[in-house]
Amino acid sequence: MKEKKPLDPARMEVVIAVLIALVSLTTALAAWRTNIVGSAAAEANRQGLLDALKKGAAQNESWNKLYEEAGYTATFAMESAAADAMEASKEESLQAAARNVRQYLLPSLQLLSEPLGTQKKYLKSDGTYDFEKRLADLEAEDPDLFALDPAASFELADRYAAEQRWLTIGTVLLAISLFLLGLAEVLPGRGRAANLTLGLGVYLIGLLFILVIEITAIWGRGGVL
Amino acid sequence: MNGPTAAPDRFRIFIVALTLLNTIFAAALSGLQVDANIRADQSNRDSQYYALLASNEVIRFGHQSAYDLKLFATTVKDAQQSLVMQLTAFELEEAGESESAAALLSQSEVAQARSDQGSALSIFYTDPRYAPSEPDGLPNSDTYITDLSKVANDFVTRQNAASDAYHIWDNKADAYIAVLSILAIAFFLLGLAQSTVRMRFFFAVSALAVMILAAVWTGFILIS
Repeated sequence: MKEKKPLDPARMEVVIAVLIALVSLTTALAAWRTNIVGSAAAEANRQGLLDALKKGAAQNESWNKLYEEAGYTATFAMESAAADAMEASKEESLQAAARNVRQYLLPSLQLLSEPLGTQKKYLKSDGTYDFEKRLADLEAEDPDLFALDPAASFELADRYAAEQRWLTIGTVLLAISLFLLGLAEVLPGRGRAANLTLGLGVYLIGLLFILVIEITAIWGRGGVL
Repeated sequence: MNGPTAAPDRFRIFIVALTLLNTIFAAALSGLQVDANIRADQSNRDSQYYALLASNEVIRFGHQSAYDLKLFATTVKDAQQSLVMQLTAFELEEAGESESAAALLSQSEVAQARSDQGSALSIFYTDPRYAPSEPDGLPNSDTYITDLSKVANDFVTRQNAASDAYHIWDNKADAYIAVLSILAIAFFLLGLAQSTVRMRFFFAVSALAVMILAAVWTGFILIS
């Protein structure tokens, strides 16, 4: 029985077949990881848009409340000025009306204008009201919703997208190596050796490339996969 | 014997080289396609986000303008009521009805006090950008409307830009898919060229022609 040499064609075919299986598995894993990263990017985008919606709804509610209070505050201030004018009048009927306005109308309006129209911290030196301050206080009442940061989610999505982009290139390198190994399997002689060397080289470069991308990306996210 | 076998070998190597080139081309194109898809997704997201911000801003300035305009209208109404009562009081005074005239004058003062307080709170009288330049003039409503809608218009401009970018990248991604399909045809032709002897040249040239077509198309997509 004749002993087979290390570079015997039959033996090489088996070695290349094993390599093809290994590269196929690696390519499948890389494709899976690329898909996972793409899904994570889509999820971060989705989360960002949801956060933007929730935050927007909370902001609208705050604006609504602010201008509702502002409306009552203005009405209260105008009716107070009117009551002052009635009291200053010589007409007894108006003076009597002023007493009733102060007793019945103004307290109700004041109640509705709370706290913008009642708390001194919102009254500015020129007699107008500090809407910005009141809005800031309204937002502080709902810290969870106003702490939502859609931009942060979008930034995370962009980081995942960048990772996906590079992983795709790495996966393509693996696919090229798979193709070259396939050629090595079917071609005889020097063609086989050249394709095998090239395929193995591209595979190792692709693998290293993917590992570097993954380590950099995961490290950049503080260990989050 | 060396001459005749060397030529087909070289031709075979040429086909393998073409196949390799086609593979690298396809790989690069896949990368470009994924990149275009990612950019399309990002632009699409930005477009939706800006649309959302624009709509929130429209709601916000709706609240603000409703408040500002209502206060302004009330202020003007009280001022006019006061004026009308004053005029009527003068007419009554002239008609000898002093008591009624005095009562009406007092009511006119009450309406005027209401109006003055409203003016003191209204942005149309307190903000120098919108306040009337003359004592009895009208507020600068054009500037008010321009300022009010500026933020929303900015968001809409950005939204339109993002939407345009989305269409550009989405079209590019679609076009890359079409070129990839053409490269698949080139792969098929190169495979045939490797497996046949008689038609090898025809299939190799056909594959090369398809690859050139794909390259030209890709160049066109890249610069468009």
